[in-house]
Amino acid sequence: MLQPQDIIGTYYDALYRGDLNAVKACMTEVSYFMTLESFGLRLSFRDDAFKSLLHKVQEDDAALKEVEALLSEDLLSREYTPKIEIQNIEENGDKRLTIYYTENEKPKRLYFSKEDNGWKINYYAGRKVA
Amino acid sequence: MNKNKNVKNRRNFLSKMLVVGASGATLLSTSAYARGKKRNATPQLTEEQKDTLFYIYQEEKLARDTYIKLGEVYTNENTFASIQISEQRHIDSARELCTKYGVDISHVNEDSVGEFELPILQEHYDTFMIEGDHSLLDALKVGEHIEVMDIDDLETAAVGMPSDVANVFNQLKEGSLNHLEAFEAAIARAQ
Repeated sequence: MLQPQDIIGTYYDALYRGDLNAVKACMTEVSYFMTLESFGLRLSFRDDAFKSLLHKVQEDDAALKEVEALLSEDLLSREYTPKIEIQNIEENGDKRLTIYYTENEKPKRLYFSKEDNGWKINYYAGRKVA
Repeated sequence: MNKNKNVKNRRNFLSKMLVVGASGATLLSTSAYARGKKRNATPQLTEEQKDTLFYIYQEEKLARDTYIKLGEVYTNENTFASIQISEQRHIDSARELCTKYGVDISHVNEDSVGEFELPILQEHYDTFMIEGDHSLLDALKVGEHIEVMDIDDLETAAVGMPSDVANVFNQLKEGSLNHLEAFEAAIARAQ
């Protein structure tokens, strides 16, 4: 089972390689859709057809696949390879933790929750419970 | 015209949500009374609802920070300046709910404008800055986008919440609808 500190590297590598299947495997389903929405925003502003597809990804598999394909190309074209350095791991109860790290020296954090299939990035798991 | 209709439809949806929310609250309070619990006790949020509240609180900062920065770029357009003040009140309202329901927010820094430690919020903000930098019209369209996004998120977040939380979320949505109208009017002027 991948540990959260390993998932951070996998997440960034997969994201900017445009490998959204690997990104999906790193996070909860809700967080994955939030990731599509957030990183698809640039395309949404430029392309009304993409914007329309993005609105439908949770109900329409064909729209999801098209969005993933277009967004994958966009992410790859950014040619962004940030330097990630883990700073601290903070446990938050038994099933949550926060990893503090830097992305090109800027402070960042990602929240994780322990799901049935291992640790997953979960944007909703930031509230302190312990 | 279509956009005005859109705002009216959203307002109608909110009214229905409030009726449903109030009915749910009545059912919940009746059930609690039947079990012999105090009728006026603060309702409890589920763990998921607390997580949702915490996320909404973090997200409210995104709108305020975007309007602060776009207002600095387009100093002759006062829509950004007036709405950023309102967005601070949204942050305050969400913070008060967090405090009421024991949601720890001590690790969130409200004061660092444009800095987000959660990567998806930073990505949103960076995109808003890139798009908004093109022209005043693009910046106003960013504002319009933010308000539509906030309204959608608040509508989703309100589902199943206790009536006091749903009421606050409804007030925030009403505010966002007013902001949306203001941005639409400004876009019409700028075109």
